[in-house]
Amino acid sequence: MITVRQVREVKLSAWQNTYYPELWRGMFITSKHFFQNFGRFIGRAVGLKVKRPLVTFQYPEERRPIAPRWRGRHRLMLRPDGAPRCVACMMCETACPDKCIYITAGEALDGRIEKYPVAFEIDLLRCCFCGLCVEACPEDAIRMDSGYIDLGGYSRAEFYLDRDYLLKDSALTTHSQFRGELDGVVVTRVDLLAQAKHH
Amino acid sequence: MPLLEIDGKPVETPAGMNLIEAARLLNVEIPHYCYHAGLTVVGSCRMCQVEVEISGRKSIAIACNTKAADGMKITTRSEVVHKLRQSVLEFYLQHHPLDCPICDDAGECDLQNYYMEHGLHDSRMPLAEKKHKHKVMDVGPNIVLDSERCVLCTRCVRFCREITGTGELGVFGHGRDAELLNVPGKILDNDYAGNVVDVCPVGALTDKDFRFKRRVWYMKRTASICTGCSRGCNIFVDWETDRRYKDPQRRIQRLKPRYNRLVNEWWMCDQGRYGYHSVDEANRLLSPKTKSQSNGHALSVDEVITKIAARVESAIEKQGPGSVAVIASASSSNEDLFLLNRLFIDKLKVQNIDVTFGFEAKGKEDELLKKSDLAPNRRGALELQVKPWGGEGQGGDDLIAAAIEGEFEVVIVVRHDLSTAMSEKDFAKLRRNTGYIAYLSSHENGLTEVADDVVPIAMWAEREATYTNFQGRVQKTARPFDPAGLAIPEWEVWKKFGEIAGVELNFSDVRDVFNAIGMHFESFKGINWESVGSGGRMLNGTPEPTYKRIQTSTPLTAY
Ligand code: SF4
Ligand code: SF4
Ligand code: SF4
Ligand code: SF4
Ligand code: FES
Repeated sequence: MITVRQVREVKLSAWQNTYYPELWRGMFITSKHFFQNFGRFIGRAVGLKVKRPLVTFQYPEERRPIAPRWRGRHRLMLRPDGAPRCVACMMCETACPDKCIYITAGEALDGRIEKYPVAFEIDLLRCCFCGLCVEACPEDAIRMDSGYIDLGGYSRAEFYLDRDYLLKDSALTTHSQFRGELDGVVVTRVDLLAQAKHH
Repeated sequence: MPLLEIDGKPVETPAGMNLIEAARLLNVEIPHYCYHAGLTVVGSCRMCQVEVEISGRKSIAIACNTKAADGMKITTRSEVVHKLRQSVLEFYLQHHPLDCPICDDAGECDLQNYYMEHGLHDSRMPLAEKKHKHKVMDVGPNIVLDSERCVLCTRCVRFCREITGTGELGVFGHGRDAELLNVPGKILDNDYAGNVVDVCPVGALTDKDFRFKRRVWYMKRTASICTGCSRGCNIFVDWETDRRYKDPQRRIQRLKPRYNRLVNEWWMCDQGRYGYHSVDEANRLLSPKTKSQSNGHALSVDEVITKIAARVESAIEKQGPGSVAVIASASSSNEDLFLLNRLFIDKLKVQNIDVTFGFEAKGKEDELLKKSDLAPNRRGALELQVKPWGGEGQGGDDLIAAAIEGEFEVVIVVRHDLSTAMSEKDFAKLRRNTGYIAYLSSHENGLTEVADDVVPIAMWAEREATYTNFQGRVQKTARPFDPAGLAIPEWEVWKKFGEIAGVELNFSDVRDVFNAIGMHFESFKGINWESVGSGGRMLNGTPEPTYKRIQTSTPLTAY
């Protein structure tokens, strides 16, 4: 069902149309927050119990610690013999509220488990990171990474993850090539957990 | 007629009915594995046990092999019954592999369903001690067996022995080693083999054609009929169109037989079962074609029909109706043939029209379902007076012969691929001698290549229609999804043709057309779309066939 909602254009008042008063009002709001935050830093420095001031992280050199319960981009797990754990049962696909997992099942004729994913695709741009796919999987084949929030890319296609991409990341690595160039360092999950605890 | 009480509700049953069927009358489902209404009762699975009270004495009985009797009081839900079912289930699941993630039956499996309803016990069987049996084993060209999943209900064994009489399957070994296997030296390759997958209450037998294609819960189900031969078995079309997969060329996932006591009972043949592939074949004709000028823009179906109508009209004007021939098809529906009749025979006075030709493929006929006449609507064509040309017998062949000799200026062909119906020489001659060939086709073939104008038409799963089977039963197909490409149902072609030729055929939909047939043909009088119903309806003046169990009378092969 498509519902159509009409969005009315906002009419500016004559006062707003004179431009300068609004400009100054904006400046006032920005400055208010700046001085408020500044005040909190000073307050904390002298030992007052004021609200925690907001800080700026110098991303990407400096990273914000991630809570241990954070779950981000998916990965597919392997069996000890190197075969994907996934048996293309489509439980995750069924559970997914955003319908962003697309699996095609195939028959394995090599004597291993008879069903395997010929294609396994996740459209991350539709995903809401609810984790229901992980919950639904009877094989513990799909997990979500706990380390990274920075899913960056230059095109939509980069967010359309295919089976081999999902499988190769059984260890924690970065999302895109671009991201790899930026930091050069692979942060392990242990580091992140430690950071998070420390914080 | 015995009057008994099931879970406190009174019910009157026909004499000799068993308790599973009696409970069904009240919409009460008694769990069962080995019982199948179409097969003999063996009473081996013990899943159907219920409490039976006769004149104050209570006992436990299997519902499948207990006939309903006057004054019985049946309890299908009680502490005792629940415990019984749970124990039976625990027994069946003792060595069960619990393959549900890779089992095609998951979602329609009676082990799953009954476990959720009556089991919910914890397994006491250590995983390492589970008995292993054959997995992924071909028992026939289309059927795969996983004997670990089998509950040894012997429904499939009985199907092969009682219905087809071929006896390919059997249970071998005993105790926990008992296993369903092929009878030595036999493979399950009879013409009805696909039915064993339907009768199997679990996922032990799976269909290669469907294996791993879709999960059952994704599919939608539409009641329809098979158009594979003139029996018109009642079926369910299981289809799925709206998820993004790698193979959009498979809108129909599988066909399943639908019970109709007087047509096909619970069964269907493999030819029909796997015949659906033609609906999404790569060579489906998706858009109209023309040999004449198309002004450079994309051609619409209407334009092509206009061209055909104009050509037919001018031929009739110049040379009379005798210059036009229609090679019609008994695979067209009642509505198609009715409009064809109205338009050509009634209004345009074209007499060169036929539906029966010697080149039409003949199928195998047997005692169960298969009819050798593969056209689903020959009876309908005859009822609707789309008569053999020039009298009895091979009239159609004379029509074709006349066409090859160039007796007609315009030839309209419906469905038949004439390029494979005759020798190459004759086909070339036909093309050379005929001024204009119009063709209605669902697939690309030799004739679509050379015809002057070609209109793509919808197939049976893409349109609603009625067909009259060999018994004289009018049955309906449904339209689960839209026609491929620009294809339209055949009757719409004739309707548009009529609009252009100035013939009143103003029907708004296919039901209108069908309802109008009764006004012109005695045998359809009073039959309307609604009254056809899901099980079909006999033509006026044609008696219901007497009910005879569908079963082969060929004796069992000894083994
Ligand atoms: S996290 Fe949620 S939305 Fe994303 S793929 Fe999994 S189930 Fe779908
Ligand atoms: S639920 Fe798990 S095993 Fe099933 S398809 Fe999804 S990832 Fe594969
Ligand atoms: S037969 Fe298949 S779906 Fe049914 S319980 Fe066994 S593995 Fe699961
Ligand atoms: S294969 Fe299926 S139908 Fe045949 S005995 Fe086993 S469970 Fe019953
Ligand atoms: S159904 Fe009654 S014993 Fe199997």
